[in-house]
Amino acid sequence: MTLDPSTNIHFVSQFEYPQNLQIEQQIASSNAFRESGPAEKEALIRKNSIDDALEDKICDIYELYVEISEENSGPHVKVLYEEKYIDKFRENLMFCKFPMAVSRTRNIGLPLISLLRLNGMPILEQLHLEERLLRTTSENWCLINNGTTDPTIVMGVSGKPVELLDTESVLRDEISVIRRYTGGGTVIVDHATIFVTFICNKDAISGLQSYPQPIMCWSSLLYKEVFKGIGDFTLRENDYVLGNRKFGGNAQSITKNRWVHHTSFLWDYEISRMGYLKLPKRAPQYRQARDHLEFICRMKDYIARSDFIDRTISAVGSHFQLRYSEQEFFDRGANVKLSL
Amino acid sequence: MALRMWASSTANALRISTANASSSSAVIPPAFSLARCFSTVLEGFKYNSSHEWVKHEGSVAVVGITDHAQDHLGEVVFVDLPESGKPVSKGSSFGAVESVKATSDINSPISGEVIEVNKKLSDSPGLINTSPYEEGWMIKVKPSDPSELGSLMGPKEYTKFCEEEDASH
Repeated sequence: MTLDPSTNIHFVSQFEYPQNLQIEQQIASSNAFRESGPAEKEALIRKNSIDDALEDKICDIYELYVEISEENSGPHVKVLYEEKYIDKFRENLMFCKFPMAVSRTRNIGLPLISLLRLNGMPILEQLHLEERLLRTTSENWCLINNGTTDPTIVMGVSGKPVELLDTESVLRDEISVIRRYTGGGTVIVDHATIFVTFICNKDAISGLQSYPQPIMCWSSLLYKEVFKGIGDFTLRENDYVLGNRKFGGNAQSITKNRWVHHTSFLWDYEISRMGYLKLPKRAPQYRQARDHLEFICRMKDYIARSDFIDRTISAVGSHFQLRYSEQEFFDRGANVKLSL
Repeated sequence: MALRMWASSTANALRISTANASSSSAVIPPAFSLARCFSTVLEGFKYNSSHEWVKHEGSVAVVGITDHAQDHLGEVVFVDLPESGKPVSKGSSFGAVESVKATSDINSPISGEVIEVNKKLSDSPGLINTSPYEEGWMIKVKPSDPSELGSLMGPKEYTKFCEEEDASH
């Protein structure tokens, strides 16, 4: 812990790696598909069907599936050639139940990304994890943390508490303050914040220069897909807005060969907590001196929480080949125990 | 300020003398790139592929980021630099600049020891945008291996490198 003498706020150290991580690793799921009725499923399948080439690929993969099953199961596997099993396989294939298979058919040629789904990981641990993945691995990662634990203020790398916070109330209410490793402004996060982070090699995305503006623009294309038909989403002066209200704070860190872009999405927020944050000196023009409550909006007014996560994963899947991370990435290096 | 540099570069390109020569061109006539951003590239400097420059003056090497870099980063609002006495190593990060919600690592073109840090940048980080090769210098280094300069790019090579990088994206 380090003490900022001007305000007496203790900063939690950024340089201790966590000893225990509880990470829930899941296949990119499609709850919506599983819950929908047969007619909707048909429509969804038709929507995602492409052409003969895809059909052939699916057959190849099905053959592979059967081969693997034959090795593992035995004679009863011949039933897999019955039409109903092929249809079921095809249905599941289309909606990420077999992510490696999907990646081979839909996403041939796209860069690989490992998807990490976290639930309620403390934001400090999440930031530690991100820095570690950024600086000590060479893979592409997408982290989705569905809410954090205690309310926490997170400032950008150059944030000064006395300028950005109502330090008296922060100290009185013992709110943790973290200075993160990326640029940007100040947010207050809690269980109702959804975090999405991309950690990529600089040449992962074809045609993308690893500078702030291009990365920001690329991210807005991805989120445009997420909010298609949901709300009037745009990127406005480096903020994600619905209409003219901000619902997500962005920040980046760019190293020689990699970059991180992370966002904290306001699924919901408590009005009283916004009082910890002062109006920043540096504000985008479109803010027009509005105070926090007039400037931001809640994502829950537009989309269900699980829908947002599912749609984000789906959008990621159209830019990357999704896969699991492997446990070995967490076992090597620092003493990190992984419990699944 | 960026507009003035652009205008000055254009004027030079067209061989028109400007009424107020900018201070950066008073001492060293700039070799300029006619690439689409009119980024300035100076003679007498060496460049690396992560867009930092180094100017070797006797036993001291001065390091900063290039006009191309500051142009792509946007307005610099904060600079994080090492203290005097710290070592730097060629190709490794020695600090960071913050611009437009992003921190970007600054990588040293040479190895050695930091002997001086530009203190003006803590109050005026924007000097990196307005004067990347002069007032926006970042650190002065005592090089441990001057032969490292040989593997860096000269102005023409660096100009071409920037053009190719911009064209391929």
